[in-house]
Amino acid sequence: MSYASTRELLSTRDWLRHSELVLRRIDEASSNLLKVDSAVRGYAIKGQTAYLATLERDGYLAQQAVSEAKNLTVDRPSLTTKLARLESMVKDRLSLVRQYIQVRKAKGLAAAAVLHKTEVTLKIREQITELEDSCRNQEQGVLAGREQRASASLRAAMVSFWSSTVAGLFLLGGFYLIAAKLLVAQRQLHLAEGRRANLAEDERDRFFSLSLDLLCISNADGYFKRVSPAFTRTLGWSVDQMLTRPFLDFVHPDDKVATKAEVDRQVQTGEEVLQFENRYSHLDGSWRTLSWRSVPQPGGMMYATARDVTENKRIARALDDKNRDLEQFAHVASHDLQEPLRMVASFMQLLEKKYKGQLDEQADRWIHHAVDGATRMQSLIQDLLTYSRLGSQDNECCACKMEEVIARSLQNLQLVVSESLADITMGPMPAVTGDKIQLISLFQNLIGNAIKYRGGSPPNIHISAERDGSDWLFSVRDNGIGIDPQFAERIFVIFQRLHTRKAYPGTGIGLALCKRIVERHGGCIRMESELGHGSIFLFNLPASDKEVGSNGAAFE
Amino acid sequence: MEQHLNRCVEILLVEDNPGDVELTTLALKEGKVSNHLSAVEDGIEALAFLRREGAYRDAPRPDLILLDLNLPRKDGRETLAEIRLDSEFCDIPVVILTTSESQLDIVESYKLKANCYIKKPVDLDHFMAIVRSIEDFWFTIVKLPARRD
Repeated sequence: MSYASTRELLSTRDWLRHSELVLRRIDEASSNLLKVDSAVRGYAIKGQTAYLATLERDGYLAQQAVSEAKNLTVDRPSLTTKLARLESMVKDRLSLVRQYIQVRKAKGLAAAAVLHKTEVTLKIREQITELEDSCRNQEQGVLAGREQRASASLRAAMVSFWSSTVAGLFLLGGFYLIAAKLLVAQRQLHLAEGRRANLAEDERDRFFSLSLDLLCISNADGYFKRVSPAFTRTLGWSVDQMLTRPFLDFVHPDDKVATKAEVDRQVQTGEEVLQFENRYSHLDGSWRTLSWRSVPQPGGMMYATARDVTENKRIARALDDKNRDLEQFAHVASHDLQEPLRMVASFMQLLEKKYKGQLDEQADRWIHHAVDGATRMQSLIQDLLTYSRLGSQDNECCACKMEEVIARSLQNLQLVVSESLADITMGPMPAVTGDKIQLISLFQNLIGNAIKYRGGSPPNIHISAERDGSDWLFSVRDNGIGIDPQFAERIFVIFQRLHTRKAYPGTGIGLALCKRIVERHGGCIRMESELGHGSIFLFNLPASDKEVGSNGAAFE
Repeated sequence: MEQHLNRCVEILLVEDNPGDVELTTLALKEGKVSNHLSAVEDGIEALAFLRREGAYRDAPRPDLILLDLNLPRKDGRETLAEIRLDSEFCDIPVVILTTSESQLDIVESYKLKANCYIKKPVDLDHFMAIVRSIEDFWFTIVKLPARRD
């Protein structure tokens, strides 16, 4: 009894393996038939004979797999019959495929396409799928039955152990028990893992299909192994079309070399590609720019995702062009306007010089107004030029010690500082990343303003900086006449002024320049003030050390 | 040095703006060096002047050329290039005097072997001073080749 159940147990294990083999063969046949289909499509589109070899090989493998499955199921006639039918249908299918290839060879794609869609072809495909499913289901049923039997034989083994009174059998029984336990535990673990794996795979597939980004796996042979539906949505090509041509075929001729080099580099170094752009062809003949990120696998396989950045690039380019046009316009306009104005101003000045006092008082006054107007317009144009140059000239950004920057701007303001008896103090100053010339101009304008718009007492100006994340927040505080908060935004607009030229001369460019400088450094500027109580200008600039330190940690 | 001071120096101004011609004339009139200014309006005229073609049959050989860049017909760059290619005039110093501050113009002018590049100042007094300092530099400080007319 015990011996019999042991044998039963061992053979059950064999049978489980056996069933799995049958299922695997059916799957193999199915996947090889799919490969045949895609090779047919590849040939239909490109007409390359290389596809025919693949086709024959995969067709042969499919047939082999079915016939092996059939041979494995001789113990179950019903399944054998089904598999025999499957075998003959696969044969039919392959002969239809060969027929199709002949037509495609002789009469071209259009004629072949008709054949490809005939009822016979479609029906055979359908029936093959059905039969495959049915075989699979039946064998899975068998597998389940065998599993049950495996548990039953375990119970039998247990019974045989307990009912055994022969002490000599004790050891043997122990062996059975352990063997059976191991087998069942292993099988259960295997099943649970399988279920979990199935579920995870299912989830993965859903995300794969859902993703807006293009997801793919490519092989060392230069073909995509798998592409997500997003490829079709973005590039128009069907999944099969993408799988049956080397991926370099889709890459813009000018990007091929770089793409190949990037792929080779990745395969050789095993490094991830974090950002790589190239142009891919769209079915409609246009090019889409894709931005790639990929991880190499041993053996030349790659997992990659790409994003269509064509539109972003176009918009960015259009914006760049517009800005350049605008800057150019401002530059040209101000330059060309300056020329005739120089004439007006020069000759008015000449007139003033040569004939002052020789005409009457009114004439002198008129000449003065004309000279004044022309000179003012010249400063406006000069300022406009400076402003527009801020956009067109990018000096190199470097780590700037702000103490030096402020010292330089004070040097430039030396005269007004000493004339106004200004008291200028500053806290500890950090270093920021920026364009030194622009930063000097920024502080020069702000400190200059603080002195210019002073109240009755000598100006008292304090400059300080505090850490704000990866930035430094600077403040320039004064005790001047202050600004009505309702004008807090207007003061930063080019040529906007809050005072008459008589009270405070100037064109109204200073704060507009400051705003542009700060914004070009990625920061923003604002003003806090109360009329008559001084004002504070606050702005942030990027720290030259990017670590987020506590306040004062990065002072030098 | 004395040779320049002893005689009237010849200056050719290539400038299409009559205002600038007049201002330059005025400035030079008040200068220390006795000089004679001829003005032409564009590059074609300038080259004809140098080659003594047509109406310029009796034109003097200039000691210095003041050349604007933006000119009708043939601009200053082309004119400068042609002057430098002509073995007769390639040794005449050329001063670029223009309103342009573009780096492109500056670099190109020096590549074409301009002797110096000056931006016309906006302010009248400044302009006068610059013209006079051009005169001073080229005719009292610098040593030029001996005249060979």
